[in-house]
Amino acid sequence: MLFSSAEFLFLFLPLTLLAFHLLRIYQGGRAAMAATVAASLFFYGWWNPPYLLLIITSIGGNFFYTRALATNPGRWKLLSALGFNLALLGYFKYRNFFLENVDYLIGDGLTEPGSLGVIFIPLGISFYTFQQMALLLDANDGAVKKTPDLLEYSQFILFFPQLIAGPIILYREMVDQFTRLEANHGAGLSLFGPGLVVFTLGLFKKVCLADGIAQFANLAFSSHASITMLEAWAGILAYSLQLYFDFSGYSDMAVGLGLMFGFCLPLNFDTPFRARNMIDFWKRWHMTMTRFFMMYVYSPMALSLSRYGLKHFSHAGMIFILAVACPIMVTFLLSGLWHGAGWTFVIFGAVNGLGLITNHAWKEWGKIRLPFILSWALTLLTVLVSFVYFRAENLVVAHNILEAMFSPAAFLLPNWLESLAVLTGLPWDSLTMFSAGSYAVRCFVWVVVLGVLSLWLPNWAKTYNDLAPSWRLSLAVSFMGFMAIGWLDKPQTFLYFQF
Amino acid sequence: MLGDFFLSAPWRRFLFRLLPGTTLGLALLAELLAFAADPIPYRRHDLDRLALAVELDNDSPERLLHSIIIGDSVTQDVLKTYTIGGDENVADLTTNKASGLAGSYLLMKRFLGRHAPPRHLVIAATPEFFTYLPEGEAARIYLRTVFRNSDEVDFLGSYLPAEEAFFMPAALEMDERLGKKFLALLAPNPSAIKMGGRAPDPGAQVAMGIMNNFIRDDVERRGRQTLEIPEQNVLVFRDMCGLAEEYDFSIHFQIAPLPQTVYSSWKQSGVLSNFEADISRLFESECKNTKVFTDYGISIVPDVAMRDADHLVRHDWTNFYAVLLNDLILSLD
Repeated sequence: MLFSSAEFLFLFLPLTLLAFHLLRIYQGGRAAMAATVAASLFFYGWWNPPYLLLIITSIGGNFFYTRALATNPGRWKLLSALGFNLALLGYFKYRNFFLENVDYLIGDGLTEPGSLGVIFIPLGISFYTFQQMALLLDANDGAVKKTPDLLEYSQFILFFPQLIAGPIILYREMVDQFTRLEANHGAGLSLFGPGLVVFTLGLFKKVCLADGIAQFANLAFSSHASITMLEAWAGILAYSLQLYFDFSGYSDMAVGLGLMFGFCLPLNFDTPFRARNMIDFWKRWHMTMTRFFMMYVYSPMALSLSRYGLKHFSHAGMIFILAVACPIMVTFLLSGLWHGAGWTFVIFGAVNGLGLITNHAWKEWGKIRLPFILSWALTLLTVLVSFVYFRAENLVVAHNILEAMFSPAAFLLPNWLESLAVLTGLPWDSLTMFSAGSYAVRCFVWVVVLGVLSLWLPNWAKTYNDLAPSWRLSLAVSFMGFMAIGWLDKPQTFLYFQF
Repeated sequence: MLGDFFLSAPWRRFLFRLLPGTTLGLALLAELLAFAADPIPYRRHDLDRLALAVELDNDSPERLLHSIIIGDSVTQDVLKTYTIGGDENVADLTTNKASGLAGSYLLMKRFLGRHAPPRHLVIAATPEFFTYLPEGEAARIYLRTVFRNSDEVDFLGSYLPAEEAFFMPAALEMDERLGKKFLALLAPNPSAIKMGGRAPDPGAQVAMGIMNNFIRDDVERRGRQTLEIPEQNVLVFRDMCGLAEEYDFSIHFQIAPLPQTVYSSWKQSGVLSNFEADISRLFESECKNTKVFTDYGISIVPDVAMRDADHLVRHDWTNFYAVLLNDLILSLD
C-alpha cells in the first residue's frame, strides 16, 4: 500500500504504531520489533503476496551469509554471497532488459508472447538488495560491531518506512538504535511529534505538489512527437520538480515514520536544486544511494586505479582519467542501470557522469571561477538533460524532447499570442500542450511556485531536532494535512517504486 | 528535549492542544469562506469561460445570427485558428467531449436566452460526441459545477445519474472550493466568443508525414470501439429539436474527418451504418417538426492526418477540415 493511501493512513499506520508502542512499553523492545517485522511483511505483501517468498528467500540467504562472513570472512564466501544477490536482482530486474537486447541483436523473438515472456519487477528489490550487499561487504571487512540475530536483521531490511524506496540505510547506523530499543532505552515517543510534522510535510509534497504538477510533465512527454520548444522546456521543468517533490516527499515520509517509531533514518535530500555544481548536486540528491555507490563502488575502484596510474604514468591527464574519470563514469553508468533496466537510464547515468567529470576537470585545471548564477544554471541544465532520459519511455521520445528543447526551428509562439507574434515577427501556431492560454499560465505558475519552494521550503527532515512546537507549526501541519487528505483520492503512484 | 523517552511537555501541548485547536479552527474558517465563495463561477477550463462569456455577453441581442456551431475538441481545435463563414455572423460554441452533448445543449440554451436566435445550428463533431455520456469526475468538472442555474440543475438531475449526497468538509476541498474560486475572482471576465483569425485556404496542399507507432495504436484502438447512442443523449436531441422548433432554426450535421483505418474498421463491422441509421431514426422520432439535414458526406483522411486518434495534424489537415466547415456554412442560406 502507498504511504499516501487511505488504508495506510487511517488503518495500517495507527494500528502498527499502537501495537509497536504498547508492546515496547509492556513486553519490551524485541516484542515491538517482532510486531513491526510482521506488519512490514503484511505491508510488502499487500501488492503482490507471492513476492513475499522472494524477499523472505533474499533475507534468509543474506542472513546466513552475513553471519558466516562476520565470524569467518573470506573472498570466495563474499563472492558467492554477492553472486546470490546479483543473481536475484539480475533475474527479476534485468532479465527482460537482457532478453530485449538479445532479441534486438539476434531477432530470436525471446520476448514475444509465448516465449520466455515478461515478468513484473518486485517492488523495492534494488533497495533491499543493496542494503544487504552493503552489510555483506561490511561483515567481510570486519566493520560490523555486533552481528545481528534474525529479528534484528529482519527489522533492518523489512522496516516498512524504508522498505520500498529507501533511504538506503546501513546496518552500522541502525545497530545502536536496535540495541537501545532491546534494552528499553530507545527514543520511545520522544520523536513522535517531530516525526508527525516531517511525515505531514512529506505527504503534502508528494500528494499536492508532485501529483499536482505531474499533469504538465505527462502531457509534454505524451505529445513528444509534435512538441515545440516552449512546451518541451515547460514539460521537463515540470517533470524535474515532480520527481524532486515525489521522491523527497517519499523520503520525508520515511524519515517521519521512522521518528514516530523512535528510529532515526538518514537524510536523502538536501535542497538539491540549490547545488552550484554537479559534485554539490550529487551530495544533495538521493544522498543515501550516492553514499552507497561512493563507498562500495567508486572508492575501491578509484583507489586501485589511482595506485595503478601513479605507478605507471606521470602525465597528470592520464592519472586524472584513471583515478577520477573512469571510476566516475563506471559508477554512474551502474547507478543509471540501478535506477531502471533500460538504455534511457544508462544514458541518464552517462550524462551525470560526464557532468561530474567535467566538474572535477574544471576544479583541477579551470583558470576562472564561474559566477554563481552561471555555474548554477549549467548544473541545472545538465540535470534537466539527464532527466529527459530518466522520464522518457524510450530513446526516440527522449530525442524528440531534446530536439524540441534545443532546436530553433521548434520555437513557435502559441496562437493566443498571435498579436505578439505578428508584432515581433516570430512564428506562431496552435500548439498541442499550450492550446489554451489558461493552461499555459497554470503550468507557468506551477513551475514557478514549485521552483521557488524547491529552493526555499524548509527541510524539516534535516532539522527536526530544532523544530519548535509552536502554533505556527501547528497551523502549517493542519493546512498541509487537510490539503493532502483532500487530494488522496486523485490518481497517484510513487515514481521511485519501480526501482 | 528529544532525549526523553516520553513526549516532552512542549510536544505534548502541541499534539494535544495546539494541533487539534488549529485543525478545528482551520476547518471552520474554510467552511465559512467556501460558503461565501460559492456563488462565484469557476474559470478552470475553456467551458467555464465560454459558459460565463455566453452569460455575460448580451451586447447585440437584436442582431440575427447566421449559425451556431457546436461540437467537440476536433472542431474546437479548428475554430481556435480559423474564421469559419467569412463575413457571416457565426457563433462558436464548440467544447470538448468531456461535457458531452448535454454540455453543448445547455450552452446553446444559455446563449439563446440572451442572444438573437440563429438561422442554422451546425453540429460538427466526431461520432463519439453523440455516444459519450459524462460520468463521475468528468460530469462534475464539466457539467455540474459549470451549469448551476436552477433550470440547468433540473435538466442535469434528469440527465446524469443521481449523485451520492454526503458532507465533505470544505477544508478537504480547499483547492477546489477556495483556491479556484479565489483565482476566478482575480481573472478578468471572459470576452465575447471569438474564432481564430486565419482564413481557410482551399488551395493549400496537405503533407503526408510519417506516423509514429503511438498514434497508429491510438487510431487502431479507436477503430475497435462501438458507437451506441445512450438513452440520455436521445433525450438531449429531443430537447435540442425543441429549441430548434421554438426559435425556428434548422439543424445540420457534419461528421469530423475520420482516419482511413477507423472508417474501414467501422464500415466493415457495420458500426458506422448502425450509427447512421440510429441518427436518422432518432430525428424521425424525436424531431418531427424540425428541419434536420443529415445528408452529410463523411470525409475520410489518411491516418497520417491524425496527431492522435481524434485530432487532426496542424495546419495542413486542420485547414482541410476548416475548408470543409467553411463550405458548409457558406452553402446554408
